[in-house]
Amino acid sequence: MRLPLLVTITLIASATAIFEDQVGKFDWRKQLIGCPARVDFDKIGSKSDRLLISTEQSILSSLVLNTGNIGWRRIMEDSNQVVQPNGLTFTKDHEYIYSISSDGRSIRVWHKNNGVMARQLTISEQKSTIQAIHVSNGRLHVASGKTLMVFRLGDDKPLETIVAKRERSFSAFFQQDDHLVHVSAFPGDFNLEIVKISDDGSFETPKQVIIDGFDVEKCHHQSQYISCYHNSQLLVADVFAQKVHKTTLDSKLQSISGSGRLFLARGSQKVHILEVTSENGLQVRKSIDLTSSDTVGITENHESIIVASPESIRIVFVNSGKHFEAKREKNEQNSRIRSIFARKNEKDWEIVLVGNDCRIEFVTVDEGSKIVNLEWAREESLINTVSVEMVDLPLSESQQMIEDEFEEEGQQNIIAAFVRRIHSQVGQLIRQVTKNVEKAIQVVTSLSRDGNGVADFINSVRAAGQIGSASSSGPFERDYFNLRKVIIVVTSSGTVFGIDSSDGSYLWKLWLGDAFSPLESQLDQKRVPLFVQRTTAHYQLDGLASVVFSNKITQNGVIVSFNPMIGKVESRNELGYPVKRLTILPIHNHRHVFPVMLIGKNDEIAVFPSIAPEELTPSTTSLYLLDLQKSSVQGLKVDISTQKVTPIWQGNLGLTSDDEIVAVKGKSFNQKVHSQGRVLVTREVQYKYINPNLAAVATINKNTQQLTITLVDIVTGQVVHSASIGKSAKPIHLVHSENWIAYTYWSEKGRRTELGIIELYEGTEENHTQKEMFDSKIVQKLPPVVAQQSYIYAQGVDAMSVSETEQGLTTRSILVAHPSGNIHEVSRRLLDANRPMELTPAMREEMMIGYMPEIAVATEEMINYNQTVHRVRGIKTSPSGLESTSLVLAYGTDLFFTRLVPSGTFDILKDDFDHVLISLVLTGLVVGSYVTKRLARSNALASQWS
Amino acid sequence: MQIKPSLLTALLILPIFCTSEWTIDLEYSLNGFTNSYPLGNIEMRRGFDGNFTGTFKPSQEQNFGQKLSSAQDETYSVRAKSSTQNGQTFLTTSDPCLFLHSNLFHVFWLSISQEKQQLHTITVFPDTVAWRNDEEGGKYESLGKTCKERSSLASESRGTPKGVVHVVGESTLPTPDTASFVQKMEREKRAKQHGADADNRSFIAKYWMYIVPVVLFAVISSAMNPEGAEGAPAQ
Repeated sequence: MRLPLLVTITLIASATAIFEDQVGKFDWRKQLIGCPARVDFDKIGSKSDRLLISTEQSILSSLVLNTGNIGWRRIMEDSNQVVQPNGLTFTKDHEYIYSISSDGRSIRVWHKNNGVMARQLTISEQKSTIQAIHVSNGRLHVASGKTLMVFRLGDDKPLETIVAKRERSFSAFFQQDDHLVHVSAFPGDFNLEIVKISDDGSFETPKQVIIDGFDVEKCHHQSQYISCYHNSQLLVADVFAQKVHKTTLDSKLQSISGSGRLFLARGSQKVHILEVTSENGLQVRKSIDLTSSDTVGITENHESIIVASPESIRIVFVNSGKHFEAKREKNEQNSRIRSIFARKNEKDWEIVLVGNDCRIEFVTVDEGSKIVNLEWAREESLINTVSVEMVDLPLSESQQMIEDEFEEEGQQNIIAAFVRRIHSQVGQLIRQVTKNVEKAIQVVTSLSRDGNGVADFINSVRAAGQIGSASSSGPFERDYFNLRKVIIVVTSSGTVFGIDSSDGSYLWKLWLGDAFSPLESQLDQKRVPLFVQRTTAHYQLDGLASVVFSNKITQNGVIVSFNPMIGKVESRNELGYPVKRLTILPIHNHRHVFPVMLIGKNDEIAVFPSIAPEELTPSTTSLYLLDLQKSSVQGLKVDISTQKVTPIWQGNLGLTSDDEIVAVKGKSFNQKVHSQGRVLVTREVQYKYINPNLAAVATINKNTQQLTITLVDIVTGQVVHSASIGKSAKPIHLVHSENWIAYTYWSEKGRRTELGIIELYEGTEENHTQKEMFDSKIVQKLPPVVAQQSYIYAQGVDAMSVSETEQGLTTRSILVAHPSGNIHEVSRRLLDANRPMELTPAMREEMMIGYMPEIAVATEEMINYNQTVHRVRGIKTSPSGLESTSLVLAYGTDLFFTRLVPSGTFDILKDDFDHVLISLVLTGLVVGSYVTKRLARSNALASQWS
Repeated sequence: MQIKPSLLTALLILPIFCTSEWTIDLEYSLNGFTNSYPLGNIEMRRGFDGNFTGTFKPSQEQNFGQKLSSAQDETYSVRAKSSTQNGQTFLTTSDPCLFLHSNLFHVFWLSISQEKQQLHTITVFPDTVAWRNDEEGGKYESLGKTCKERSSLASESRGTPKGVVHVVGESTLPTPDTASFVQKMEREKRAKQHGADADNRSFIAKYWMYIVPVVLFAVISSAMNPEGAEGAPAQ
């Protein structure tokens, strides 16, 4: 009886679900498909044209050709987030799409028009990336790894199966008229194995054909040919005639592509177009001069060649001498084009351009007008988001005036100060008056337009109020509660975006160049760190943000600084060495810029922008770093003024060579903790142990499956707490905030995910000295009291984060992203290390929640309600101007932004609070009382006369 | 005659070696290990509960304090070698000033693994219990300024290092406590069943709080009424 009651109470306490009319008001979602590897033009039914796209992130999708919107999208299993440059292997017939999924272990059949899965067939248990699929004559032919199979369409059992002795290195199906063959190669061999597939679907015995210099990397296959290049030599093998054509071109070749009978052999200066004919064999039809920024493609009907560069698109006809050029609008922030997919219809050419920055552009080129028409574009690099920051918008004009008023520019006399104050206040008055007049005019015009009556009047006043508060239509300045921000998103593809948080629209884009390559971090992830060096708080100065990455060719570190509001690059510096580690300094220079410190492989130190020694205060002369190596841990002290790195402590934290470091989490230097303690039931105060130098290190031992969480002070190397648990496994996530650490892991023992919490307190002693500053070098009289607790969590965990508010006053919430695409908000009140097993009445009075071993996952607590967010890799939270509200961006395959109110909107009126109605009623009452007073008086007078 | 003191110390140390489970030798330096001197050793002994306690045995060095005060603005580094881990050295550094302020009292904060008997990290702190009572009271910070400006250091800082050892072992992370929760639920269920049977007090004993006001009201109103009844006919 108690249990359901308790569950209900906890649900009520933390139900923060949104109302139906709030859907989409504060939140937006961007669905992405990833970097296209293969694009097919397709037609569904008679009119709606679609693009079938398979991407590097193993997503199969269909885009509406006219708008670029996603028709449908299917996200396949993620093979450990490995980028697959060839995408999914798929083929199609008039109704279905057949794709090889789950690393070559199964075939999935999808309805072409809506993406619904029709069937799934198993190939084998073995994973393989060498795949081929072909559908013809009512049969489905599949090759994956060693296996070669044929299915009758609609059957679940294969007609026939061949399993090769070795893993293949090349595999493809070829069809000419009714003849079908499968060609494969094995690593190290120059022979091709050809298996004919007879009309009844059975395989004939393999035949061997030798091609000299066959190299899978340098070959391409199309309709009935395999073409390979070797230096300047080109080989084309006809699979059916079993004949090899050879030719030598005048320059060294770089790539080969083609379609039908045409081959495009690209050198550094020009591209050769070759054709195979039965009479003449292989012959060069044309040569086109190229520059390095050009990309070559061929239309589906093999009649014209498309050469695209950032400035123009050239179209060359193969069969005639005709060619023309159409100019494109050049944008510096779009990268070079990687691949071209094109077709010709009756009027014009339809071309899909895919850039190195994963931008998909759909353009049409009209021969008559020679104009490139951009139909739509999609920025797909956002699927590789790695770093996110949210930056305040610049101050509005009136806020600037207030700032001006209090600006202390030297010592001015009293009259000047008075004049300045009057001036700025008059300015504010004028602004207010003009704003109100504008609003009144709007109301009047809408009134005259919409008719009359009280209801219309109220509605139009309300609409006018909403126009004023709607942030998206307002000017580019900070709103009253600072809820609208610029989200800076950095991707591992080399792009930086500025996104408006109010509606998710792109404000600007920055392409970091062809030489971009992400940094390799200690925990083996791609990393492109982003630092906000100067916010927009200093209104005379623009904001400044920097990204750090490495040069693909030289491996040296590069730092690019830009204005976060408009995306304009301020400076670009390349270091003379690779970057080992980097951090933003907690001190700013006289221009209010927080410099970024980059440490090279051999402890070279560079600071951007440089900081003068006199700008350092005694407490900020040095910086402490944690250096984790296998079985040796060091604390390093970096002296900023002398730029020297010295070890200050050394130990091993109990790490052995079997231990794998899973997560290291420190605290950001500007985190605010509002309350220093926690009031207990006994009216005592338990003081929080808040050590800004504390880092939490999670390691897992491969042999003993032991998860260890160590809390170490970076300045002194003091191990504050260390605890471990056996039989645990990845995924392990860790969140470190204030005086607590929350972690999740997979428990092999319970076969479930468990969510744990560690809290640190200084104890309840009364002689707790209120220190102004935490000092790592002086030990506390008593070691911190550790409270820990663990809960069952009935869902998997993809990512974990914690809410962040302006003053740190609001109860924090932990955000947990599930593999199913939900983001669950767990209040710290539930995830508490001090939930008592036995509730006394005094505890109940304090609204404490009794211990329950499970943290319930309720649908009302999903901050993304039904907006599924797939494969979340990270959640970024940022404070807004309102203490109750935290801004959240979850990124992964989709982007999702929303506002989070962990303790409810206690500092703001309800969204549906009706100002208009209340003020109307009030004025009505006042007027009414006045009128009745008059009436009553005249009545009384009349009665006295009578 | 000259060998005698060293022999004596050797004789003293020998039984300690026999009783302690493992030792950690410490040496210190004030110039980054260009010159280093022995600081003493820490003996680790297992208690009855299986936990380790450490005891610091300082080396008999009389001018430790003087060395510290002559190198006030240098770094005081301590290097440790554990007898159970060959070839591994542990390093910790601090401010000499802090130790002059704490009358050369050290706190050695050791993080160890009890099962493997291995040292993870060692950190040396000044002992705040022995803080000098100067005008700044207990407030003393390691940051800022030079040593002399921060406190009026007595020049008589002399003597040998003294210290206590604090040992942090590896604890275990909790698992969800389902067993005791189920127990608690059962206990409550049982208590409820028993409670329903056990409440066999009389009707009045159970509901006296509802009855008393009603009775009181009746009494008061009846006490008021006679007057009213008398008053009404009078009018």
